[in-house]
Amino acid sequence: MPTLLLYENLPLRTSRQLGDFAEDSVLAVVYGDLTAARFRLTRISDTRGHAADHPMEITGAGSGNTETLSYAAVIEADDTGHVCTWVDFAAPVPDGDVMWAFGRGKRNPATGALIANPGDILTDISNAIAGRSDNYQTAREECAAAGILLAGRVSVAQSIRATLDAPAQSAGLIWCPGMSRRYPAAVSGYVLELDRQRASLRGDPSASVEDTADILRIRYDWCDVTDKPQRSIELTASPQRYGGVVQELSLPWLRTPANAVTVGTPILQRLAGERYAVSLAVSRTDIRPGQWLRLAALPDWPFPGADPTVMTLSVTVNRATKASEVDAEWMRTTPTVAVTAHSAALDDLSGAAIEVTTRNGVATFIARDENGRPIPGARVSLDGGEAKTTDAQGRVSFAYTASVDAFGRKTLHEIVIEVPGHDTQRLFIPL
Amino acid sequence: MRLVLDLGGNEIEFTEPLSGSLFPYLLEVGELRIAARAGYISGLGVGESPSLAVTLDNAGNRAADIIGSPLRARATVYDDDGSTYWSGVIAAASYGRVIGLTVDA
Repeated sequence: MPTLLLYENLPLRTSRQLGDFAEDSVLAVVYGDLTAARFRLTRISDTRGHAADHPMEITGAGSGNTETLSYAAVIEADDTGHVCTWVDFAAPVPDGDVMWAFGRGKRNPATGALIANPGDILTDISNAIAGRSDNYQTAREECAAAGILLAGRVSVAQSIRATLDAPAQSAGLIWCPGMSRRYPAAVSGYVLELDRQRASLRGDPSASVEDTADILRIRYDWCDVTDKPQRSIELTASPQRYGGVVQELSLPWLRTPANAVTVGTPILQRLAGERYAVSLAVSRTDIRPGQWLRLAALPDWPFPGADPTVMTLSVTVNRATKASEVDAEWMRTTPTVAVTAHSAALDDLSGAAIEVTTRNGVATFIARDENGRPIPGARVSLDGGEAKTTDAQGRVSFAYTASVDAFGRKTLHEIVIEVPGHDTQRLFIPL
Repeated sequence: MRLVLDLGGNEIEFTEPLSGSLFPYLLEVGELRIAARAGYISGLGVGESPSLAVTLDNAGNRAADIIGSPLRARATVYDDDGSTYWSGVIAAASYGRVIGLTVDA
């Protein structure tokens, strides 16, 4: 397999290569745990759908608006000897109905572990599919330490670069070939000290209102069948430096509220913090994006007393002069971030949702139907306590005690919602 | 600096003049720009693909005779201390008194 360039298309197989097909579409590669998020099957015949271009576990299947138990998951080779996962339905699926399934995606062939760590997903797309030799080790380690897992499908004919962007963005990563890490995040790992003989500022550090916000709304947990998010979260910074400006972000590969908080918090800290662009001239050629630089010894650094550790975001290296131009970012202060609202679909079909807002130790739940109207009479319980019934505004409130786990993350609270006409929902939300 | 081209399993090395190696030489290694990408940071790295231009001396067509058409060949540029300076794939080549190669990620 030739090495492909980042701007070339990812070489995914298509249904044309199966010989017998009803749809002409890219055959998907599935990553992570999609046991609670439906994904599309490629229709091969009235009774057969193609789930993934590799072996995977199927935990449920259906078509249209109906889940069925009358199906068989089959892992077998196609006519070319390529092993795929298929779903065979007992009854023909009408034309126009989408075939779908739940399941767990690709596994590491060496360890058998589910590929769900963002660093592993980037490496697998780059190497196993694109035939490159990139290793995203820092992202792997940082995401493992933060407990970040992703799930999603690679199913669009587009460039390798655009394909890698999707999981990287959902995990809050910056990346370039062979390098990926969480950013912004606390300074960690190797920090290169630059002294006045090695570096100087090119112009003064500058701040601008571009890309600033005090409130961040993240839509996540995407349903592949409806092409809609199943959850959203609102994070609010304190102090509010930019007049309460709201920014919205879609992170479709994120799946859990806890991960949404873990990924969203540093992103909002960057948007809402006191942030400066820093340009440097450095007399070395080995600095690369993703590298921390400490500028403590620079005489022209205008902020004495503040930790001058900056993150390299781009670099231009000139071998002839043995020097580099470095564009970096410096976070002087970062705000505290609180979760101010959660929202979750009661199911991914109707559009009904429950919204959770927190204020002064009180969590308020509002149940809404698919038209956004409040649902009275829904029963909601918190952490196994007595259920309360929503009022005419679809609203019910609980006092709760905020707490954090050993890693400083907010404790997950269990919320059970029973809405007439919907399945009982059990949500775990950090409060 | 030295450039190593992997031409179908045969590694061909080019080094700078005065480095004691044989003609044809590696004449120039251009600027290397690499930017991180992040969808949640506006404009960062969008549309950029890291790339490095290198130039070989092609006097007497010697370099062209050696490398032929190197498109899609793997290319690695090593720094003077032996560390990898840049590695990628030959995405473009121009032929004349010198040969210009573009090594893309």
